[in-house]
Amino acid sequence: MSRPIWEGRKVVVNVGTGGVGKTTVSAAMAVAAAASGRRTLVMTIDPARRLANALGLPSFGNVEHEIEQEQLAPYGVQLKAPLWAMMPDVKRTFDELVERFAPNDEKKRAILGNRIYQHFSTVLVGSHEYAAVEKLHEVYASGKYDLIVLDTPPSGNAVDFLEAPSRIIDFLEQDTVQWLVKPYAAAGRFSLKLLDVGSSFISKSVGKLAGAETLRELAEFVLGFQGMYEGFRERSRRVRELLASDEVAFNLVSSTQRAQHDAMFRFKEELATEGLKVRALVVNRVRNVPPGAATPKTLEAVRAALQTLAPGAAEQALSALAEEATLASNDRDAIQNLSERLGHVSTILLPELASDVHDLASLSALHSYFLQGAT
Amino acid sequence: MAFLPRLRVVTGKGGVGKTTVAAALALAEARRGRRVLLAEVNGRDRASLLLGVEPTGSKLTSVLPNIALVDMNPRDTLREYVLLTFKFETVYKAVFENRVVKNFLRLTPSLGELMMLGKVWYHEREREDDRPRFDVIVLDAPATGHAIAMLRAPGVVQATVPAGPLRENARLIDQLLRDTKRSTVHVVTTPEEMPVNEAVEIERAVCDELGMRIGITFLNQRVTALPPEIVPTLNVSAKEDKRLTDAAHVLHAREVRRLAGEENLQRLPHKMLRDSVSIPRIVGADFGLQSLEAIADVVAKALAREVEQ
Repeated sequence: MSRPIWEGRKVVVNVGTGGVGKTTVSAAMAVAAAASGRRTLVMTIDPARRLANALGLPSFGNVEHEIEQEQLAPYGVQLKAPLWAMMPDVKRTFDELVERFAPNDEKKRAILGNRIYQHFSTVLVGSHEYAAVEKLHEVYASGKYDLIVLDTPPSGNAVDFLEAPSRIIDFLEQDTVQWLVKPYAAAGRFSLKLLDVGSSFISKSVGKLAGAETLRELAEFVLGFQGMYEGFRERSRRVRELLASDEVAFNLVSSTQRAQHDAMFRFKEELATEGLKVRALVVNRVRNVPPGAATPKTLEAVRAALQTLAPGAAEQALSALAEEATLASNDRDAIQNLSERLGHVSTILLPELASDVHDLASLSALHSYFLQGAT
Repeated sequence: MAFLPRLRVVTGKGGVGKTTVAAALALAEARRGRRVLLAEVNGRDRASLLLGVEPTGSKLTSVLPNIALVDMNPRDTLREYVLLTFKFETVYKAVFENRVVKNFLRLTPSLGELMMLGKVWYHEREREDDRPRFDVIVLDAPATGHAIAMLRAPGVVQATVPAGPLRENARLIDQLLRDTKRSTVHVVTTPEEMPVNEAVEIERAVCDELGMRIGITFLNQRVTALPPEIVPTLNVSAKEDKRLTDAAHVLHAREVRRLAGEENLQRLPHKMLRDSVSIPRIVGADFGLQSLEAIADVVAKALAREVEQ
């Protein structure tokens, strides 16, 4: 008897590349957890509003939104505990951090008004990941939920979002300021007049590339963050601790496409390097053809049955059947191959549905696969 | 007269076959005698795998007749750019390999994306023996969100970076992108819901916001329709031969999925649908150069019909 993949955990983190249906998988998993009695929150950083679409909600903001029992009941899903969804807004999450940690109003205004800052959260690599872990920590600490399902931003590597906090802190660090505005940072005063950035060899060179004005804006931005590092650092340390604890499970989410399987293997290795283990592999949209549907005898029977139709119709049907059977067998082989490469990790297979998953009906259809547990 | 753009940007949702289409475009252009640079972005050398050639990494390499390949990444591209600007390796090492400066460069809005577009721009202008070194550059751009961010980068840099060399470069790159005689964007989508949503999103950003041109749209993995009487006929016969039930069921499910896919495609803007080319689903254990050549056949026919707008 297998156990649900969230058993004994408070946080489930789903990682995978883009285009595999991570958001759908996370939402179906959360529906299953709530249906089995856990107070569940599903969280996604999702600019495409996929989760909102999937849950049939209008877009929702930086706070949790409850999915009502009545919304799922028509599809035969009985929630035994409340289910919430949340879509952290990256820019707003950063603004909230600044508001929390800024030592005074003057600094708060200076940062929020800075041009570099305004673009920072939208263009900086890792800012989505940072917002995700930041929010994760906040909702975890609230103690409101038995289980949090985190749908991570699509990424080229599994540890992007683990490293995001330290990376962000890295370039906000004080020595950045000291290098760029060396002679004046020592004065310790936040004053634009004091920022003469063209003084050192390094800042001269960088200035030649980017323009001295850019350096000045940047120095202003980085100086603005002075005094806030401790708060950031403390947060980052706690998130890190949480992710490494036994309360968190990591799942790999993949499609059946072999092209993605190298990434899955790499993700597993990257997690292992961080001392993190993969709890389960979830393969989405597995094509399945019943074994009797494309045997030589069946194909013969199909040809005979379609004899009366227009010429060519039987051939079209046969080649379509053969194609579907090939696709299904490709999927089976690919999954077996992947499972072997991953060291036979527990696996949950979600079938391809007739239509795309974009509504509660499909989520309800998928949720039962998580109730059976992993094999 | 055939449309002979200098830059083809290929984008779409992750996993829809962008790299396949980009590689097929490169093959099709090369077949009609144009010298092609196929440029991937953080591609992990997938294009070289498809083309069956040695991985090139970030070193621009001639890999097939008329085809050169490069897999760009922000770091190496920045290094190249700095070396072009400063001329001295020692300056690069002393300044740009400094950890603090690296952090600064990461923090400057859109710098990485701009650097890679800058490389494309540089090779578009590059000349050899008194003619352009490349007739066309096929840019295998990142997936939707990142591609839009990338194409926005010149604008972001012009808005945030005060006057200076970087801003001037951003202006020139912008000029290339917006020149509808030189640059065109190809969207790749499958008939699924999310890829179509993202195709619509790209069209909006590219046409309305960035003022670029959308060229041929590639509808990948399109499934051909079956005659409608097949499933009912099988169902009737299934009453006597139970084996036919499963077969009928499989074909029915296939039709339902296909129709859902066609419905999704109908949500594409009219112009995209009109200028679209279908690439049939290729089912087989191995997707090799042969499959790619077959797709290049389809693409080549489409390019022959392509006209300037």
